[in-house]
Amino acid sequence: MFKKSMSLILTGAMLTLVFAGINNGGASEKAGKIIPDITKTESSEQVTLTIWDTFVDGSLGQAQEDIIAAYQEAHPNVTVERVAKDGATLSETLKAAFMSGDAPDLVYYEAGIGTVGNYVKAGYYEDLASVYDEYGWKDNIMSACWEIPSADGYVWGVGNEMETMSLYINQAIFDELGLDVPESIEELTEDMAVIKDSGYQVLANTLDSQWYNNMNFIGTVLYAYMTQDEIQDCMNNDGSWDKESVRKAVNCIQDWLDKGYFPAHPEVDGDQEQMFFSGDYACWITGNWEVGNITEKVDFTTSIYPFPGSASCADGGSQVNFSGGAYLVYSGSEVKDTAYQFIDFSINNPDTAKIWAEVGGTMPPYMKEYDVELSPLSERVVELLGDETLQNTAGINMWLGTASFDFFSKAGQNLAVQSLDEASFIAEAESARLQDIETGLTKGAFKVK
Amino acid sequence: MQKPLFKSSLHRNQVIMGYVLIIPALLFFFVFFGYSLVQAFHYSTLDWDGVTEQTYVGMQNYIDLIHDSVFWKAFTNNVFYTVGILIFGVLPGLLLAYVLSRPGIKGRTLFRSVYFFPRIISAVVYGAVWKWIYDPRNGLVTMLINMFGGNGSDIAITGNVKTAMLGITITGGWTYFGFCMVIFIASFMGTDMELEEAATLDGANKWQLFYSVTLPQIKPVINTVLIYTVIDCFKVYDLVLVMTSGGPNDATQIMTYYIYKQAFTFNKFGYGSAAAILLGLFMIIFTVVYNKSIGKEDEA
Repeated sequence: MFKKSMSLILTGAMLTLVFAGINNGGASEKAGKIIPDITKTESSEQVTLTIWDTFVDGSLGQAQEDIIAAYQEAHPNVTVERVAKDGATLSETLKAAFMSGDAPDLVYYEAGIGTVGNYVKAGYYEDLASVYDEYGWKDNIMSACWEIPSADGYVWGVGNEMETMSLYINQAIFDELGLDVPESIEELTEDMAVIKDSGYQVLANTLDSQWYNNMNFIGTVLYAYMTQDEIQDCMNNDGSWDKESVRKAVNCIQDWLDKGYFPAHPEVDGDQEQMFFSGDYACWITGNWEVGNITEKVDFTTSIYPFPGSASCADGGSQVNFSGGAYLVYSGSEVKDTAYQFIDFSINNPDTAKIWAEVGGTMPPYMKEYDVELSPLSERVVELLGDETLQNTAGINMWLGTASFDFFSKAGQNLAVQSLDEASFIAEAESARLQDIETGLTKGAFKVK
Repeated sequence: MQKPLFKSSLHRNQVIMGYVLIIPALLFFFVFFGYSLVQAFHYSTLDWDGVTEQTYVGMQNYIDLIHDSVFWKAFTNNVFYTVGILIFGVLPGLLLAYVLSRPGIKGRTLFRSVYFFPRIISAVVYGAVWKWIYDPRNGLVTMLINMFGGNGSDIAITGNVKTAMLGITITGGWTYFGFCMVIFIASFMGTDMELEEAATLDGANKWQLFYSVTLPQIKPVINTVLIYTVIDCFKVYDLVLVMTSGGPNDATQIMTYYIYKQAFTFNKFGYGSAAAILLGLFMIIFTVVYNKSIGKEDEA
């Protein structure tokens, strides 16, 4: 670990981060805890802010607790009541809370249109467009924060936790076999053949019953073949999946399955971490949420590279990015201003950005300069998120409608068990897309009443 | 002359008190079951995502369900699971209970505890354990097959559309047979041994003793276990969620998981409610028909 200062600078609408050696010197550390500099606000009115979030993970939960403690210290008149729930539980209980008029003031949850679009339509989430302007968030945080939770001119969330899918390689195996970093997915496929022939396991990825294993993998390969125009067409205009690039991506996955580049029986749930950490596997297509574990548990050198685009893709392919979740404000809340203030404190602040990065182990969306200690692998992730030459684009799970989400969440497994082929993949993806358009839960069809 | 309604004032007071005492239970029943049932039926006639405005569609959800192949796949899988539990759970439980209830069997309490143990573990836990047992990469089944010279990784029980439901059913049976065994042991212990002794003197063999003398004595218990088993099997959810999430390719899709997905994943509350109503209707019809057939059998 090393200490270095980091500057994150926005360039246009892309997620762009650049390192700079400037020390902000805002936060101090006492007994291992990061204490943000606090300017107390004066108000006599006692306010209770209820927050439901999905930070059930130890480190993220701790970061949230630290930020709440700092916020309450800065705003003594505010008492924050926090409830952490896993995503499924939060989703189910939230519906009941909305219907009973007893929803929390602030929710932190996945904010894609398929997940919360119907709540937005029903008027449960506040439009934050003017709040963005008021607090100047667009100047300080990454564009994914508002690009994902928005449609039809309505912005219903403020994203946090920036994530990116990349190619993680066991450098020892690559060095031993004399393999260079693949420049394209075709070169990666050639490398895979060499790895397989040398007796090593190739990919530590499974295409099993877990939706994220299917979605993340397929999305990454799709973006390697699809141009930005094609992605934007599908994302924003409900464009058809019946594209040559999509067919090529499906064929690529099928080819890798046929050639045995996946672990045995990739359709059965498996512990991908354990596979890669064993040192037997050369490649792993995964996201930066694994960086902490790799840093802690792996005793070989792991290198992270952008996932290579296809040579057949006119613009070289795109990288899959996610926003782990977003803050959403309940429209029935009586303390909306306090909720906005808390969001601002949590995401538009160098000291809390440091807490998210160091305590939470996640990449905050804050782009101004701040002190932060990062491991070399985390530093590499920041570099990739800020690389202007990469086309960082919201992953498919951030914008698919519910039927399409369901299709893609098991499409990899269905390819592995040969229940899907290229033609049926396209046909079923199209059928799901049309269902989503019918329900109005796509970026193209969404209308706020 | 008209008969008095009550034999005495004491009798009258007892009857009134009886009705008074069941009022709380009836209230709970109507509030938490009756009202919910009516509400669920109301939802089933709506096109509703659970939050936005409701559109009345009549019986359309039911018509769509009848044409939904995944719904029927889920129903068929539940039937398969139920039959499997009868074979892998109830039958071994019955036989084991018979053996353990025989006079002179030592360590009965120990066996009873050991076999019942899976029943007290959460489905999430034993589902995860059996997931590992079936794991084609380094699971127990694979290791055993490898030990005997085969290639265990050729077999992916939960990864194969043809065997995945069987794998889940065997797991379910493993947890269920101990439960059945405990119930059957209690009933076997209450059978009339003198009847068996008489049959033995008349020359009955062991099978005849079991099938024709002992088994008929515990028939009411068997009937109760069968009805309970069918209801329990159609309510299975967590085991499937943990082991396969309904995959691959809906090979292990079951009714409760299907209903949950329709209501909470696809936000089709009306459609999910219609499926739930159909499931409830099936359970009621099954129970009534089964009880009637048992009643007729007993009369005969």
